Amino acid sequence: MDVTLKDILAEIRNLSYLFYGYSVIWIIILGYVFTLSRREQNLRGQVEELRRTVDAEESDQSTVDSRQSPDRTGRSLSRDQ
Amino acid sequence: MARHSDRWLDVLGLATGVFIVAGLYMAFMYAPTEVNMGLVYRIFYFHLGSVAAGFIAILLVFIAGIAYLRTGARAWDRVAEAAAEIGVVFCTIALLTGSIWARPIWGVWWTWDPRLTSFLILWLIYVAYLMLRASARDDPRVARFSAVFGIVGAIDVPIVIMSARLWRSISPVLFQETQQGFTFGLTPEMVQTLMVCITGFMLLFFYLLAQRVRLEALRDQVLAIRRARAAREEAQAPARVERPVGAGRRVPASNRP
Repeated sequence: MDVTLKDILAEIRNLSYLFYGYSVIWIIILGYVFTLSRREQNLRGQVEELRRTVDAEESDQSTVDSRQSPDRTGRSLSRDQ
Repeated sequence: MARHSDRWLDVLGLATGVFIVAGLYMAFMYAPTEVNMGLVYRIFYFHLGSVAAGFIAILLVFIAGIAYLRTGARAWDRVAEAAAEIGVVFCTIALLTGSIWARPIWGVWWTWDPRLTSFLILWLIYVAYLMLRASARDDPRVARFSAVFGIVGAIDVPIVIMSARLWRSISPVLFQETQQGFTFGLTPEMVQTLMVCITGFMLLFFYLLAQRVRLEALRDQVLAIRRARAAREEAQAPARVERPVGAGRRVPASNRP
């Protein structure tokens, strides 16, 4: 069977579509994996930040509670009382 | 427990990688070139892998939706949402690669063929599902409504599969009924390659699903911490309100007892 220039050009054109097809597949999959990883990092950061904030608030609250608790003479140690 | 599940996830990720690399090798080096379509037909292996993974995702949305409506467990809702998102990703790949494959074979990027149209409708249904979920993420009513939407949307899957048989379609019918029963209409090498590619994308789907469900669990954790914080602040608020308004103000001598 003779292979003409037309056949070769058609094969090259076919090859370019094959390239586009596989590029689309891997760009979409890698893009999705990248967004998943970004979202996970973001959420982990939020969890850490919230935990730090909650810990800080709890320690502040315990300080305030200890200041407000009455001493042996029945007087409060709190500044605003 | 977390380490154990991480190990399983690593094994799943490794198996996914092995199958995908093997599928790529087989699609380009092992499977013979199709006589009429030439090289471009090799898109078919991962195109069909994406379709299979998309259908499995939608089947899972369907099952998880029913389970959520029956039990009300948030875990099922997480699975449904994650599966729908990944299903849309795979259906997008299938739509785009199908279009790229159609251009040199049919001469057009898109045609309103029954299979293509029903598949586009399926894609639109699950994009709408994700938009619905994004509109009010933490509302249980939206979760219930989404579950119903996901279940009803899955009805389109058998329509997509049967469309090429039910109506006149230019899409190829993969399973052909012959005297020996149902056959693929492909050479054994092509069938083997197709199976490896489909398995690779199925494993990739389950790997991404596990990661996505984990992400959703993390988001629930953020919400739980925020809610606990808000509840504590609310509990502390009345104490501040109950404090006498004029506590520090000087009282005129005439008003003193």
